[in-house]
Formats: sequence, structure tokens, C-alpha cells
Amino acid sequence: MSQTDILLVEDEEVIISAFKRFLKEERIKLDAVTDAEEAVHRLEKKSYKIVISDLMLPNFSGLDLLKVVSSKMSKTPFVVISGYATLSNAIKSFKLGAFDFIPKPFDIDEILGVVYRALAFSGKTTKHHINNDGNKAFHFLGCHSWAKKESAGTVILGLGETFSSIRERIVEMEFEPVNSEVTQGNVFLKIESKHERLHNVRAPFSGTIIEINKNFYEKPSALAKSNLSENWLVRMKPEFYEGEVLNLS
Amino acid sequence: MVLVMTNKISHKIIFGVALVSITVIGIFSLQTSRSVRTALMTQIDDTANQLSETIKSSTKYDMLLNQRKHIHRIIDTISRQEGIEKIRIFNKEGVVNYSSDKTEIGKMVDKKAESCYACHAANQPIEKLPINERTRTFVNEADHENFGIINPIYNEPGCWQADCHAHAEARKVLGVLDVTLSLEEVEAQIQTTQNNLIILACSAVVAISFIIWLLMKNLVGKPVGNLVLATNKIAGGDLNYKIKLKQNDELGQLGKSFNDMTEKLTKAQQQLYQSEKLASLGRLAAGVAHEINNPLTGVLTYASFLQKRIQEPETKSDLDVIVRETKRCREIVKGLLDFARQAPPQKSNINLNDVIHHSLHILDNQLCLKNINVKTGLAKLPNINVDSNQIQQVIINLLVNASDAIGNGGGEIKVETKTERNDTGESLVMSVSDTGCGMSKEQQSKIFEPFFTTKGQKGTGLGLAVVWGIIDKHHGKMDVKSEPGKGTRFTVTLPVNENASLIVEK
Ligand SMILES: Nc1ncnc2c1ncn2[C@@H]1O[C@H](COP(=O)(O)OP(=O)(O)OP(=O)(O)O)[C@@H](O)[C@H]1O
Ligand SMILES: [Mg+2]
Repeated sequence: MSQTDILLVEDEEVIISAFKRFLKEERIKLDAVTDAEEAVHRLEKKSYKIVISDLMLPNFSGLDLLKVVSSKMSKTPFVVISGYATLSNAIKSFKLGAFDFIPKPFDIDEILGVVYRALAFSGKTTKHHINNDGNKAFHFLGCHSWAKKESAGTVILGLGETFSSIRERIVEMEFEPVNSEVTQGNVFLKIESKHERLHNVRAPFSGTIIEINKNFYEKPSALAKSNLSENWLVRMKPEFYEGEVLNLS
Repeated sequence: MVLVMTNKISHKIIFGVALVSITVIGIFSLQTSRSVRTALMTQIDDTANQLSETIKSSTKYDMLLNQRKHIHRIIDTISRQEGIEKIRIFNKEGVVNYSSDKTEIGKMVDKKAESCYACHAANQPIEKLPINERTRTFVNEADHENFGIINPIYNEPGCWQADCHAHAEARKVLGVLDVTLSLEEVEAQIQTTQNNLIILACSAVVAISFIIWLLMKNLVGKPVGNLVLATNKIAGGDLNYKIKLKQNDELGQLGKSFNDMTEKLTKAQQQLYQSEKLASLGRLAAGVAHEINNPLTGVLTYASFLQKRIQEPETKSDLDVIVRETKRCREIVKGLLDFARQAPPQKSNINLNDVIHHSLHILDNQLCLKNINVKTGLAKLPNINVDSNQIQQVIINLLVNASDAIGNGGGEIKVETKTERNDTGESLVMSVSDTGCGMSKEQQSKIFEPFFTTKGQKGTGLGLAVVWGIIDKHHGKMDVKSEPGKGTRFTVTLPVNENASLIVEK
């Protein structure tokens, strides 16, 4: 079976042509289809490293496609791009196994950031369950970010496995400041990796940030050698722990 | 139309009352004239009886002596008195011996005539007769009503022992004294009494009807007319119309409830209008955001792609502008989407007081810098199932507005909570009051409209529109009281029960 890098499911011509244009430059191969049913046919005939899909599609929605892909092809990262980027859509997507959730409009640095991470992740199985040491202290927003409850009632947040490919290339990390409020599904950390690629990290819980891990704040490169699921980045006082934990896996 | 209607009611009542009073007064008058008549007749009875006894006794002596001339004279004299129609004495055989009417003397009285009938009912003279059977009323030939009394003259020892030996001892009744009195006087008196009663009854009915008409007109007609007018006005859409009724009675109460009702109706209508407007604006915003994001993606990806590849500084800086401005558009659209409140529901069981503490904590620095003194009066509250993020947004918006209203001169913000119980169940009431600039009535009517702001570039005017939308979604209510120069108080009421089952899942 021949392999292409990306299957793009998108009904907007200009976005397809933009993808074609900048991926050509990166030498990444792309097939584009305009609806989810066609996407399913393509996926049956051909293998793809990753799928990038819009949510609002004619007939068959992007979320339905996501369900199909994550159940049949769990090693194919599925990136959601959406013009209707609500937090609830983001959380739903992660729960259904999306690799990442990128709101439209995005710029080239953001989309290339996720494309390269997804390509690197393609073919791997998710590992976070192994780290759950049976005590259910860990909660995951997809494989995107995690939270661990501490005895004091606070939670610590860390990066999920989907960021493992960039941990050695981090140039800068921009945290939401201490005392600021974040909402579940909103961005609490912006990472810039080499080649000016940008990555947004979404929070698994709502709450107030009370501490940022100094080790990484001052020296992001320290992340390179560490195990992502063991190193926390931010400590937070969660606000609606009980309700929000239901949205996580 | 109004007048005809109320008039109809008063006509009916007046007619009814008149009918009742005519009946009552009629019965009363009838009774009165009857008893007057009975009283007068009893009096006549006595008088006649007395008179006939007087005649009998004054003629007795002359009878014994057989002084017929004397007897004639006495009868003539007495019969000349006013009211006495006729006096006559006839013997057992019915021959008139003495009479004030000289033409009758010597004639036979028909035993079947009314004066004889009582005794001769069986063609046989009856010797003893009770007094009430001895009287009679009858109409004479001249069509006048008369009252007659007969008085039998019994045989006494003096009669058969007298010199004339006129009567045998065996006879019991010697003759009959018949006195007839005219009832003309009595009739006239009864007539007058009756006339007076009729006049009295008529004037009473007229007076009562008039008073009722007057009362109806002032106490019922006018207020009912007012109510009808108000209903028509309100039906015509004028919800600001108020009924002016000063009375304290049921109609006054009705007017008050009516005013209350229109006020509530106005509020409900405004609320509905506001909610609908927000809902359609939300849909519009969501639609626009979605539609615009696709072309924006095209612009942003192409522009940022080019920006990377182009080395020529002038073009590169042009592209910087395009990228920067496209990103600005992205933020605006994101704001619109946030406004459309597509955020996920965070329904959880929380205590409102905790959310208030939390919100105050977030704004601590900002309020402190502005010299604003925050006071809280939080009652013990039951937990409530709400979207706490959204409720926090409500509180923060209200606090920020309050702090903006106070400005830099310093002031006070008071946050209070309490529970309230009414017929629809338990509610939580939260109020945020400030000592800021306040608002005019006109301004108050606009503040919940999206994009209404008095803060120029610094405000988007969406704060309170969002607040309204959130409270509306929680089936709550909002109220504002404000006085220019003094301050403002926003009150939020959240029903506890409704929010026990609230699911805002989109
Ligand atoms: N506590 C208050 N005292 C006086 N005026 C107020 C108060 N709260 C609101 N207002 C008036 O209502 C207007 C609308 O308020 P709203 O919060 O909707 O918008 P805004 O504060 O102007 O802008 P933003 O979208 O940033 O909140 C304000 O501009 C102000 O004139
Ligand atoms: Mg405001």
C-alpha cells in the first residue's frame, strides 16, 4: 500500500490550496478531500501518516470521522482544525482521541508546528496509561497535557506525549503568569521550537496558576533530558475539579 | 361604549332596588292602611255600641211610661249629631215605631233586609246575639258606606207590669233599636292615610334610586370606566399606561393589581425582547465567526508563508502588516465567538459565596489601586448547580463596571447575598452596589443592549449584555436601581430549583 504523508479533509478551497502551497515547500505529500465520507474511502485505499480535518463538514462531521479514525487507526494522529473553535469542541475532540486542536485562522508557524509533531508521532502508541500507576491521580486531556492531583488539593500540569518530538528543540516557553485564571481547554502555555514553530498547550483544568516550575521556566532546554510525564510545568489551584475531571481521560 | 356598559349595570341595579323597595313599601303600606282601618272600625264599633246603649237607656223610662212623644224627640235630637245617619226602633213584627226618618214610621221592615238578617237568618228571631254579630257595614241607596248596629230591647218586669199593659210577660224581645252611622268620615281618613303612604313610597323609591345611581356612578362607574379604558390602552400596546385610582376599596385594589400586572408585563416583555435579541445576536456572531474564519485562514497562511520566504525588506514589512492585522481580525472574531457564549458548560454544584470570594480575589489589586473599599454581606447559602465560570464572569463584569463607575476618586463597593422564598420556590439573591457616578433612567434602559457603552474606546459595551445572557440562561432575573451622582445597585436573582437540573450543553 502506497503511503502519503497527510490526508486533508476540508471543504474550503482556499485552505486546501494554501496547504498545498506551503507543504510543497516542505516536501510533504498531501491528498485533499472535501468531505468526510470521501475521506473514509481514501483511508481504506491508502495509508496516511496523519489526518488533518475540519470539524464542520457537509453530511458527516469531523468528529464522526475522528471517531472512525481513532478506533480503526489509533496510530494515525488526527489533527482537528476548526473555524468554530469553541472550548467545548476542543475538549470533545481531545476526549475522542484528537492529536491536537487548532483553531482557524492559524499562521504558517502554528500549522507547521503541529504537522511536524504529528508526523513524528505517527505510528506510535500512546503511552500515558502506563504512567498512571494505578492510583488514578493522573488525568489526561487526550495525549496533549496531563494533570496530577496533589494532596493539598492543588494540581500539577505537564506536557503530554504529543510534545515529545520537540522537547529537545524548545527555544522559548511563554507561560500564563502566576495568579492568572485559565479555563479548561484554553491555552496556558505557548512554546516556540526551532524554525520558529509555535505550539499551544491547553489546560486540562480551570483554575488559578499558583506556581511555575522554575527549572523549566528559566531553562526550557532542561526539558530535553527529562521524561515529559514526570515533570510538571505549572501548579494550579483547580476551581471546578469535580465537574471538569469528567471531561478528561 | 364605556358609558353604555356601566350604565347598563347601574340601570339593572337601580331597577332591581326599585322593584324591591316598591314591593316592601307596598306591603308595608297595605298593612298600615289595614290596621288603620281596623283601628278606626273598632273605634266606630265602640262609639256605636255606646251610642245605642245611651239611646236605649235614655228612652227606657219614656218607654215604660209609654211617652212616645218624648221618645221621638230624643231620637230626633240624637240623630241630628254629625255622623249619625239614622236611628230607628221597630217592634218584634218589624213595624217601625220610631225613626229619625219620619217617612219610615209605620212601615214594615223586610226581615231579609240587612239590619234584620243577623237575627232572622232562619226566619225565626233569635233572642240572644253577641255584640260582634249585631254590627254590619253596608252601602246605602246613596252609595255611601254605612255602619249599622242593632240593639234588641228585652222584656223586663217593668214592661209587663206597666200601666199600659202593652207587653205580655212571655215575650223576650220587645223590639230592636237600630242605629246607623255614616262611614264617610272614616273612609276619607283611610283614603288620606293611603294617599300619604303612596306619596311616601314613591318619593322613597325615587330617592333610593337616585342615591344608588349617584353611588354607582362615582364608586363603580368611574373606576370601572377607568379600568376599561386602561385595558383598551394596554390591549393597544401602551404598556406604560397607569390607572389612577385613589380608593381603598376592592376596585382600588383591582386598579393597583392592574398596575402591578402591567409593570410585570412590561418587564417580562423587555426581558423577552432582550433575550431574543441576544440569542439572535449570538447566532449571528457564531455564524459570522465561522464564515469569516475560513477566508481569514487563507489570508493568514498565505501571508505568513510569504513573510517567511521573502527577503526583500520593504515587501517583508508590508507582509508583517498584513499578518499583524489578520491576527487582529482573529482576536475580534474570537471575541465575538466568546460573546456568543459557545464556551463549554461547567455545570457544577457550587456555593455562590465561594465564587464571589474568588472573583474579589482576582480583582483585589485593581480595586486596591483605585482606593476602593470592598464590603461583603454574605448570608449562608445553599449550593446551586450553575456554570460557575459564567457566574464568575457575571460577578467580575459587575465589579469592573462598579469600579469604573467609581473612577479614581475612591469609593465603596458592597457585595451582598441572601436567600429568598416565594411561590415559585427558593432563589439566591446577589447584589453589587457602588458609590459611583450612577445612571439616568434613560441610560438604565439601554445598558443591557449589546454595544451600548459610555466608555468610548475603553469599553465594548458587551459586558452587561453577556451578563444578561448568562443570567437568562440560568432562568434568573436582573434588576438595576441607580441614581445619578449617588451610585448603582445591580441585583441578580437565581432560582435554586431550576438550576438543579440546568444543562446548557450545546
Ligand atoms: N455600576 C455602574 N454604574 C454606572 N454606570 C454603569 C454601571 N454599570 C454599567 N454602567 C453603564 O452601562 C454601560 C454598559 O456597561 P457594559 O458593561 O455593558 O459595557 P462597558 O463596561 O461599557 O464595556 P465592557 O464591554 O468593557 O464591559 C457602561 O458603559 C456604563 O455607562
Ligand atoms: Mg463592563
